[in-house]
Amino acid sequence: MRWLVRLWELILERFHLKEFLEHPVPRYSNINPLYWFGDVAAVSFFLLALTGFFLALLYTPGMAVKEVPTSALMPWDVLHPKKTETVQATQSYLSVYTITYLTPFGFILRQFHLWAAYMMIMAAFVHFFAKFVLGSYKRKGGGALWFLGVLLGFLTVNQAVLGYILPLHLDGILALLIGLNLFRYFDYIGIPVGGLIIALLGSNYPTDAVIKMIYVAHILVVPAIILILLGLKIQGILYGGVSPPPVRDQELAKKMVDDKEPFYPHRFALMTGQVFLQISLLLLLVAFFPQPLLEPWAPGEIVPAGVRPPWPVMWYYTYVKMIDPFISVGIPIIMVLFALVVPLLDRRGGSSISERWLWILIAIIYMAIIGYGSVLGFIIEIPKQITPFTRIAVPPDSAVPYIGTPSPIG
Amino acid sequence: MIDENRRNTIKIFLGATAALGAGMLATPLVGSLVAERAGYIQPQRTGAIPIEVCKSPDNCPEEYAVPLEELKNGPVFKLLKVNTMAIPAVFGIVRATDGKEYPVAYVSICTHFGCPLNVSGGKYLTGFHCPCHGSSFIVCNNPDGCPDKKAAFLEMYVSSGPAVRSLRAVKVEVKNGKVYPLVAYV
Amino acid sequence: MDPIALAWITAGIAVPAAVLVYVFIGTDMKWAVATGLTSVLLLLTLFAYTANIITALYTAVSWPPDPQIVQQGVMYQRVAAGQLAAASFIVGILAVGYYMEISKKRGHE
Ligand code: HEM
Ligand code: FES
Repeated sequence: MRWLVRLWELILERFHLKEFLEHPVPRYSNINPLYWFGDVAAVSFFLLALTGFFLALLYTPGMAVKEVPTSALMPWDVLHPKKTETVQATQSYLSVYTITYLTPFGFILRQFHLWAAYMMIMAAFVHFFAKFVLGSYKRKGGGALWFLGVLLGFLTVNQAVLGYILPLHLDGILALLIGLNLFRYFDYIGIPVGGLIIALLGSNYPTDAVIKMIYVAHILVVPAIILILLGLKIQGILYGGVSPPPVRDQELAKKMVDDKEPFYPHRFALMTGQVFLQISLLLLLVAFFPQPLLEPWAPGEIVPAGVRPPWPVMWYYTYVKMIDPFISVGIPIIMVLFALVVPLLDRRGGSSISERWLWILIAIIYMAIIGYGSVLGFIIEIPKQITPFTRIAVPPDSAVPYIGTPSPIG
Repeated sequence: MIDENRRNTIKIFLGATAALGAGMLATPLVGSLVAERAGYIQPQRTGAIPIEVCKSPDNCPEEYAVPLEELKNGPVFKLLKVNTMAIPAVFGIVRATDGKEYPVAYVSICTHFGCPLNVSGGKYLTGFHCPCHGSSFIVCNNPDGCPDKKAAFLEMYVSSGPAVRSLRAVKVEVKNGKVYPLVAYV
Repeated sequence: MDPIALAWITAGIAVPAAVLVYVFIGTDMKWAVATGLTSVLLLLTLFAYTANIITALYTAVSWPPDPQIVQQGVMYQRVAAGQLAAASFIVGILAVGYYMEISKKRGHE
């Protein structure tokens, strides 16, 4: 035991960890839930990387199609009972099927990754909202952190979409096809984004090469970028502190900021608790609300009716169904761009709630757009075209006429 | 002052050298990828990209061909693999209002957001339906065109739903009782 | 053992243990740690037992899989996840309890 303690002390000393461990941190941010969700998102990310590593070892991407007996499909995975003896499934699907249903502890592994992803997105949304309400971008250094946060949020949703594609279940393939073709709206206005994506991936329909690209992006490229940005963000918070408490009384605010405790053992114990409680919550979700694997699909098969996107993009699905594509394609871009410029627009006044009710209202409207769309998407079958601007006429030179000279047979 | 200038010059040179070095390193990395792919793809004004599947029916691989006999029973799905592209084509026969039968093929990717389409119609190809946001496409089967739909003959126009433009077609030719795809507009 | 029975046994240990630990955190940290440690050990023993069943079950899978075995495997894994969740929960509240203890002490000084 003694030498263990010695070793620990040596490590602390040689790596100058004492300075870090003992640096004082304020207490008010531990008590106010508005400060919790960034940590939740960050911890989720590390849990995702951990489970993702094991998934990556077990998973093999590929579009090759195989026949599977229908009896192998679990009843909770299919939308409508299948009438045929066998169904077609891709290599990727069978690989995730094997992880989920034929590998000891594979079910827990996959479900944990999935729920951690959902938790990370949820936490990122709440965190964004909390910082919007608090006006955290107003303090010195806050703008940069806000900027990093918006990028991280975008990358997180990106990462979730890429991951959702990987099992190549029906819903995943639909997501992939949309991802490969959606950006072609830019081509119409002369910005060849869609053409570039097709050129890079080699196809606008899933092939082995496309799936491999998605795989590499999901397990390497995007997580690496997230890790770097997250590192920058944590560095900024360590040295710049979190945003000041949302109270008007300067005296009180100062008192709260000055009420500090050392990082170790105080905050360290709290963070350990957070990690374990978060793991516990995720495992409970796995135990009580396991998510289906969803059904397989292969090119050329009929797509059954009733496929819906997963909840993080449900709001977008709602608006896409009711609004002209020339507008709906732009919605997420406008949402991200607006989020990016918020610190430039909202500059005056203090950061207490009574001083910035206007921006809190804007924050609420922002979230309401997402919330309203999500709820609508879940509860009603949206009738087509319910907004006045449902259709914008295609410019004549953008219509595709039938090519070649039609000639009848016989 | 002079010292300051010299230092800046050296910095610029250093930076330029580093950038060149990084570029040299990146060349094989990016190059290895680009050689694998279709290369840069220039979309047309319509957003469509023409992909030549076969020059003529004479030198077209047999696996791309669909026998007319088979088409007479109903539309046929074929995944055409051209270079790095996979093109999902649905071949079919359209019965025109004048009673003649026309072999056709369309790329079964929805022009709205890109979902795979379900074929509608029985023996003859009459249209497509998209499972994602509910767009429907119907073929204009009047040899004189369908002016009320602003559609030309055999154009697979949007009849309802959020999609705004007609389906992209595949140019086909018949030879020896087989339908060959020539150019696909993806 | 039947997965449902295992789940009830797990809940029977985890819920009272969590309540006890929670109560003790408010009164005496020593007792909280003692109960926490004991219950975590118990839960981990249960988990080891479940894990044994799971590994044994999966040696029997072949292709095409028997849906019966797959469904059983899923049930056992859900129970195993629950056991780990309970153990993790108790460790978590102990850590938070410890934090509250040390920050309270400082506040009184
Ligand atoms: C920002 C972090 C991440 C998010 C939001 C995320 C999200 C997801 C989602 C939603 C899925 C689909 C699960 C399913 O439906 O089956 C998935 C699958 C997968 N993820 Fe991640 N992931 C993240 C990080 C990682 C990392 C770091 C790795 C690897 C090092 C990884 C490896 C995998 C693999 C191999 C799969 C396919 C297996 C499966 O679908 O179960 N993920 N991910
Ligand atoms: S993708 Fe077909 S209607 Fe939207």
